Amino acid sequence: MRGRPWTNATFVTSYAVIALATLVAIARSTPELDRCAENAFLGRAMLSASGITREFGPETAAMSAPGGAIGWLGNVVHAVLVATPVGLATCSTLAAVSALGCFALVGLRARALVPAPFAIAAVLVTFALSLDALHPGGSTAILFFAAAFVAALDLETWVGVVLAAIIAVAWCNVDASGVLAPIFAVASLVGRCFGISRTSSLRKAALTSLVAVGALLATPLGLAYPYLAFASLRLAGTFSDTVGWAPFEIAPIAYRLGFTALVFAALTLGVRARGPRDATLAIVAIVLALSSGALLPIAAIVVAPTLAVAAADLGRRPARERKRDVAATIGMVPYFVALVVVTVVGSLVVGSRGVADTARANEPQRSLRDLARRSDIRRVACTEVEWCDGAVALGLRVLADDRIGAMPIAVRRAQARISRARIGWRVDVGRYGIDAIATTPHTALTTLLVESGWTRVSHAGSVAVFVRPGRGS
Amino acid sequence: MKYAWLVIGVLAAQFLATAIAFPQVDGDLHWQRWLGRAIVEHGAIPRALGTETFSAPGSPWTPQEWLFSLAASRATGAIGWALFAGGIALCALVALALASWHAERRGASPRAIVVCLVPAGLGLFASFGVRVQVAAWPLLALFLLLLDLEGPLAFAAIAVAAVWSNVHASAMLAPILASAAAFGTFVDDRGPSPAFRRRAIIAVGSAIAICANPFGVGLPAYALSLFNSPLKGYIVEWDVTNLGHTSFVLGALPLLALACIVAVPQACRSVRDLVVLVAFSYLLLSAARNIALFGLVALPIVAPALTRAFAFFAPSPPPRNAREVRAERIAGIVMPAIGVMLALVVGIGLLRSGERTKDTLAARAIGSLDSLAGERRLFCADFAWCGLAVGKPNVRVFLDGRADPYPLTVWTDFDRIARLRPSWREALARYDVDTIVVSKDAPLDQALALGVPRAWRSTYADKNFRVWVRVRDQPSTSAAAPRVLRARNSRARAAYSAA
Repeated sequence: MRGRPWTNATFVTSYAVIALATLVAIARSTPELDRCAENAFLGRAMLSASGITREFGPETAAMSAPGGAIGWLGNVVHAVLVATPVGLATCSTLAAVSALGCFALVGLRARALVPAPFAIAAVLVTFALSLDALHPGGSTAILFFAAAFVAALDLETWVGVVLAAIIAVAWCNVDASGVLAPIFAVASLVGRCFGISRTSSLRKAALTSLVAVGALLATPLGLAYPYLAFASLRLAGTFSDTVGWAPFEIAPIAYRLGFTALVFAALTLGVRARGPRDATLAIVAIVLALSSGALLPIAAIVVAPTLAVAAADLGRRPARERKRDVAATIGMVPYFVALVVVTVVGSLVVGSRGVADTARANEPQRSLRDLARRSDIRRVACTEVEWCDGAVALGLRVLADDRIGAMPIAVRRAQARISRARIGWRVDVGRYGIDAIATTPHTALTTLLVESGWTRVSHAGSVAVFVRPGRGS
Repeated sequence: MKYAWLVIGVLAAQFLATAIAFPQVDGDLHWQRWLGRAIVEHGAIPRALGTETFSAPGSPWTPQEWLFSLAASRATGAIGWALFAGGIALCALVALALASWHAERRGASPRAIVVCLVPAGLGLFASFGVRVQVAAWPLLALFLLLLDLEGPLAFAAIAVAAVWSNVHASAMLAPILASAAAFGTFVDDRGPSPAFRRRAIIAVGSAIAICANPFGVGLPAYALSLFNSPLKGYIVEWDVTNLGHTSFVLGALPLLALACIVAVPQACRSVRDLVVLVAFSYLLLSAARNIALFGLVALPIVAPALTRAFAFFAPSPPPRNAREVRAERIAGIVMPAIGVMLALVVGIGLLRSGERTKDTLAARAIGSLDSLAGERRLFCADFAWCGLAVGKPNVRVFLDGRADPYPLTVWTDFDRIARLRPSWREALARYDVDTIVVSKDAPLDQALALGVPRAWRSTYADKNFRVWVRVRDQPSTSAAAPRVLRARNSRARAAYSAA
């Protein structure tokens, strides 16, 4: 870090406030543990079988289709951690470590280029865009790995190449979002080609791209990983008929509060402050963020440091005036601290609405728990696929769970038809032997189930569970 | 502009063919024609919903489309229609040409113009049709152009705002744009310069001018009420923009990216451009219906910035000898000629495609209501379809494409029925709905088939749509009634009961 000790102290203090807010946000959202529980369940299955399962298991209708090993390393880690006395709470710790690591990396990248207040502003933007992901079921792996990979790309040294390779391989084995690593690496290379980079720089960027692409094949799924991982990310509206994935749908707070502001800042300050390479990366990140709510934080991770540089450049004066600028910056410290506090408090207040929603998210598991005790239920369908994560963890067989993106097209279509009561949904119910359906009350499907004689066996808040006629209550 | 003609030529083909040959893409046109006829007949613009609806007769209405509707009602016959629809298509082309010319005036090179014109043109696709908002596009482009002028001609923008307010409520953008430009100029010039004063006068003048229409201040009030209207949640066009919108991906997004990359260094010198860009970016990200507007606004800002940013886009040097001058002149004639040729080729290709025979608005299903006896109280599962039934002598509609004047309670009940929310049957009964047009096999279609036996029966069905009528009054008069339909009813019930 460069700069005077007081600016570093401001930076560290402000980061500490943001870190505290992150921990509070994660702690308040702990009830949503369905995905975490399912990850642990799948990890346990691999540990007990002493092998990595490449295919989906019998827990979903996609049984035997390739794709079960996506994120296998993450699943195993979850299984090991959950086996400790702390149990599922370790998932919160993982989320916190990932988020704080991400914010620290973004802050340090920015701090290496600009004064402390601008670096903190970059961290704040990243925090705002990550608000919807700050919970154990969120896209926490993306936060850390994306920040680490982009930081490695920034290094432009052989160490950076090696680090990028290690991070890419680990990322691909932990999460489907690992497919983003080569996208960033290639974008960085293309950007460098537009710029006036040295040949050695270009060579390293090309090598980094190569190893990032190679990392895609370094998973148990081999050649199938890139396609399945891309499908899992549901980029560019893929399978949008199955699962709502647009940023304003799944991350409304981050979209409204963070992303829109980020775009305005990009328009105001520009993304070329550090040359075409950063501009290319920034545009790729913004497009990725627009394509999926889970990737919103990526826009901030990549773009915020660039904007910080552009903002710092706005006030650049001739050298003899620099001293006065520094003095003026000292005077600004209280304002920046106030800004951090206001942003953090505001985010928590706004985020509390989301917290209420995540608290409700535990209702599916409570509703499905009774079904798990019954022996006459062959398979369950959930209109919201993430509910079925909890069902899998309870030992139930489901039509599809949160991994639906990587499942065969027939299963995805069946899920879409059933959840929206579209033509053919009854045929799918018969074909996949679905004896119970968990759905939000007051939908077309609910009405049709009632009118077709299905029995409502539980109704907890936002979830109603129906069982097929003749299966009793 | 020389390369721009090629792009405009291709777009001309697309727009003209779409407008003239595929009028069925927009259900609003029918009720707008009905409105035009009503204005001519009564010599006044209706200010409330009439008996053509049974859910909210008497609700206040601001038919901002009155001028368009008058023109549409006169467009009868093949030639009349071709002239009218072609005129609307020309509006889109004129808007693009004006924006391109504006960019050229600001120093954009032909290459830069064409690079920005392509996405701006693609951005118009999603909103394009024989629609009133398309008629407003050239007015927006012209207003921006005039606002940029230095001389007294700039004040013509006030007149444009007045005309605009008689075409579409988006005229509300005129004073907002002028105010933003005035503010930006104030910052750029570090004080009240003559340019600032001129733009401030235009802003005030535009704010007054947009009241120069039959609704007076009612029009801006109506436009402002839309900002926070809960009804937007029910209308697809007001959806938040995302990558599912092709016009956004291929049109506005590339322009937005270019703006972030190249416009900003220029914009730092011109806060005026920056303010306008940021305002329209907000509109772009907040609703899909603003995608087209963003392209028209961004083109004159981004293209000159692109010209300055990269050597590749720099303007070519002026011709140095007679030969080069001649070549330049020839290019000036050949490019538009190729543009026209492209327009013809693409246009003929489009006209020969099968698209024009598609019935996406349930026109045939609603046409079948003519054979039913008595007054029908019609509910359409997509409210836009009911626009086709407005003005039919034996039909009153629940909710139609006029959308805005209907109270929130009607929208809530519409949502309740169309999406089978609790008490949907009670809502149908409360409004005494006796006829329903629905997509075949949609949840509502399934529910009607599964409902109390023989409460509803199908009187019409085609590949995509079905008409259900309440059985209580045995409405069918035609001797036809139909064995075929009885068979259809039982088939539908059997299919849905099978599970």
